[in-house]
Amino acid sequence: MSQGNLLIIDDEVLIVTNLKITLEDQADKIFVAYNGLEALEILKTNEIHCIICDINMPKMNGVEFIKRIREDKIDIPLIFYTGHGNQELMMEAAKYGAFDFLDKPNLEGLEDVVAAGLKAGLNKESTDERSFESDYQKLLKEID
Amino acid sequence: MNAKLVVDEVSTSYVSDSMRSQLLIEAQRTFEVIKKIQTSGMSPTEVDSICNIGEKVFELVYKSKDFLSAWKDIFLVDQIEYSHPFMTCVTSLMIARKMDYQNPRTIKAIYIGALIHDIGMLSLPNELQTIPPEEMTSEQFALYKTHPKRGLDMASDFGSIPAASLQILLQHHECNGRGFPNATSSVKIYPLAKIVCLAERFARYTLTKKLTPVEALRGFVSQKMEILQHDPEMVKALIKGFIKEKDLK
Repeated sequence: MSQGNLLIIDDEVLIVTNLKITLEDQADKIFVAYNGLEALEILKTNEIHCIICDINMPKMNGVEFIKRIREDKIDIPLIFYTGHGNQELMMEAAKYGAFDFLDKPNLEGLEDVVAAGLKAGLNKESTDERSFESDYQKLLKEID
Repeated sequence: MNAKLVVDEVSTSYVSDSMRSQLLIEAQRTFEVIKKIQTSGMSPTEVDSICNIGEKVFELVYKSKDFLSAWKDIFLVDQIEYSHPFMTCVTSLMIARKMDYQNPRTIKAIYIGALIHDIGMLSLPNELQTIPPEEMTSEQFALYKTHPKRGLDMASDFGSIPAASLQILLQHHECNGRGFPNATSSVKIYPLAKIVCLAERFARYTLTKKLTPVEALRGFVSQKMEILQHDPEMVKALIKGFIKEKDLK
């Protein structure tokens, strides 16, 4: 079963390397970009199901990046991580529909959040038309 | 204000009295904190109380084997604006549990966001706090739609409220492009806000119809237009929350 493709965006090489190693079993392919502009190029030619992105980056920061992709109607789940004190930037990112947030440096819950993001990115189109009514009725019958 | 939390303990099924008492104590505490915020505004003391209540509710929902048998038949009869946050919190955690949310940071964001999701309503005229949204005039409804942003502004002053909870406050009425304040489409809505949105709608349905949670569940799920607005996996998790663990297939 497909796990989906992940895009990591961060200007710090060490962080990118560590994330790639930590998450290598969770995605089919992991793409890497060191700023928002590089990420946009990757999105043009590759199918990405979830993005994990730093907020503070040169050339194009995380907020500018999410604003740009949402304007281009790209609805991929986007997970941000950032250090303490960047609450304002996070709220700004949230306005454009961030999927979740993680705190640097420990990135607690990283694997769970990325798994949920990939699942959401893969399911985005496939569940739009399906009726879940019969599933609900089946479950309701199991209640005392 | 003479509002009072009146709890009718009518139930014909066997229930752990100790569990029921614990739930009622936390409902009463929520009532007291919300009332205090309404009269005196929010302060670090109230935020601490909210965190404390949320943690206790989490323990009951996630770790107590008698929780479901006590909760499903509970009957909270009172001013809806006081028991609504408590029921939204319990229901949010029931959904989160069935979706396997285990991370303490995530759970804390959910229970804080759920308990204070309507805090912005307290800054609106009193009349708007008692009229159901569907009975409001267009002017009243326009004002009502500002409450998520108002709540966000009120809560942003407190550093102990996580950013994730602030996001829940802002987006708890966003429903797949048809909600407010921004008519945000589904994939852009913060997942934890979607959970609280579903829990909030269920709690409102249960309390306005004066039903127990398990009585309300079938009627709520049968409302096609309502249910279509919510994430199917979250709706399934809501229903699964009412199935005894050993019976879940």
